[in-house]
Amino acid sequence: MSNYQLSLIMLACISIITVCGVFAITSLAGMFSLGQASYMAISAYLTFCIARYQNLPVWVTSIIGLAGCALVAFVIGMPTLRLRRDYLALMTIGFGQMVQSIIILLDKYTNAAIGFSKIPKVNNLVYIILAITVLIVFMVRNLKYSRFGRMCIALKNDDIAARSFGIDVHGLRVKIYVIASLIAGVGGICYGLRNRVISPDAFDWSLSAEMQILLFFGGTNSLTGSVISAACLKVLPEFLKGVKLFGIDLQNCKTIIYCLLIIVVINLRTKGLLGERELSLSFLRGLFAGKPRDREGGEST
Amino acid sequence: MSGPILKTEHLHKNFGGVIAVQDFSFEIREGEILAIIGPNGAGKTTIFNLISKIYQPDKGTIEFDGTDITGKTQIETARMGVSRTFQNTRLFTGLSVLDNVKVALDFAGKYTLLEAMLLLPRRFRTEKETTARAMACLKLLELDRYAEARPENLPYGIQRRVEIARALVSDPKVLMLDEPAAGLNPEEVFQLVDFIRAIKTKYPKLAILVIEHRMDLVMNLSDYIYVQDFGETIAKGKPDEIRNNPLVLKAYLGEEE
Repeated sequence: MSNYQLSLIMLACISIITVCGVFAITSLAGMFSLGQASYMAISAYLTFCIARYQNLPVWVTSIIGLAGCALVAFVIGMPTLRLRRDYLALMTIGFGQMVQSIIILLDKYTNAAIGFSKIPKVNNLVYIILAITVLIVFMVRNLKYSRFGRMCIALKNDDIAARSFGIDVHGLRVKIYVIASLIAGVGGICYGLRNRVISPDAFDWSLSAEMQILLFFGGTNSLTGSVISAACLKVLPEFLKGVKLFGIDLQNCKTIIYCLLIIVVINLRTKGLLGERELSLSFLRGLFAGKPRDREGGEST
Repeated sequence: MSGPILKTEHLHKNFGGVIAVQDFSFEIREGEILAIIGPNGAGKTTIFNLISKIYQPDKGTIEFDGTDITGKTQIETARMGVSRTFQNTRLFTGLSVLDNVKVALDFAGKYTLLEAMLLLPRRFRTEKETTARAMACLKLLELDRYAEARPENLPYGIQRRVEIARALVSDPKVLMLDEPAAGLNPEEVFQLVDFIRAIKTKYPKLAILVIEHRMDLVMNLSDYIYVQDFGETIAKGKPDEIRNNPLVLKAYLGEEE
């Protein structure tokens, strides 16, 4: 495969990783965060700066980066996860701005807005990223079908009822927030390894918003849906290169196409492409056998 | 006979200037069915919310199984074995009936987040146990054929029963039912009465506390009745005594013309 194709695969994988993190926090625990990109930034900067200035291998420093990421998520999450959903979203935007400013302030180490480019080259990166992606999707899937997944759905539904069954609502929210931030951190490190340069404006809140959009596009409660939409939508603009329609280069209007697609899907299927259903073998079999599948829970509300 | 399993003394709660509950004392023993009745706005649900610690009482104490639980949180109280249902069923949409019942056992699940994410053996073992326990409870209450259904697609009467099953699965010592007959048609009310009787025979030690404003249901079911009006207890006694109590009739049916 050409380098270009490999880099597209990595792009899709990183998108999948970050959307998995957002899936845990938004689809499972019902918290709307617009600051997940800042956790990508925290772990990426920690990892690569320490690797550079302490001359340590990246795999060692990535552990430090992720630990730092988890610590920040815990400290931020403890007080703020008691907030209502909309306030939490505002707070996370503010947090994202703060992280960006700190990176710029520390320009002695981070090279500020010009970007930090002293990132070591890793061989066979595409396989590593693919393996990490598979592992993360597997772990988030298991999370969904565990007692934690059930408790999350319960607290998202009705936190008073959840408490009356002994569910430690706040503690669970903090746990999920830390997990989601760790996953974002993994995504951030992969991003850095792929691009070989990281800059603060690559991790601004529009990236966090994009993750949310990808999630909702694929299906608000569907992990497979989100994974598919994360991969496809992220790579879609690249396929428009060189395609002409009525003499117009589609590459130039990729933003329009992208947004139109999203508007159409969100309007026609308010719960995203797959809604709450998961794409599984039995589901596909039912689809192709033409059996009318029970649509329980799919389009309700 | 042993002491009361749940007991409140001089419970008091204000909302701003409104007195919701005033000087409420009661006790319930193992195996008893006790009803709190009264017209709308009599503070019945507030009493439940005080006992289950959704609100903290302004004054008074709550004692459960011999220990003072007045200062405990909602989560601690629930974990000790005080279980409840809600006035409008609060089943979790997005979870099947079985999962709704399982979630009531999940706080005590014996595997960690990491074990869950990596699918380690303890996760399978615990999940199996939880499923078995939830299914046993559904079977006992004859709800097992709805296990895979989504609660929002079930008739309201069944939803009520599923909610009661969810409250029962963790083997609580006290079960509090908040207007279990609200929104049910007469036939479903009959089925509900049978259902609660069945619970009583299947869980002989369980103390059941019912809030209701439908006299017929309460008279048939309960061993002892407290009548609330405007936050105050206006009468208490056995069903027969309550039936003929003039104060109750006045509060309930209005003045006799």
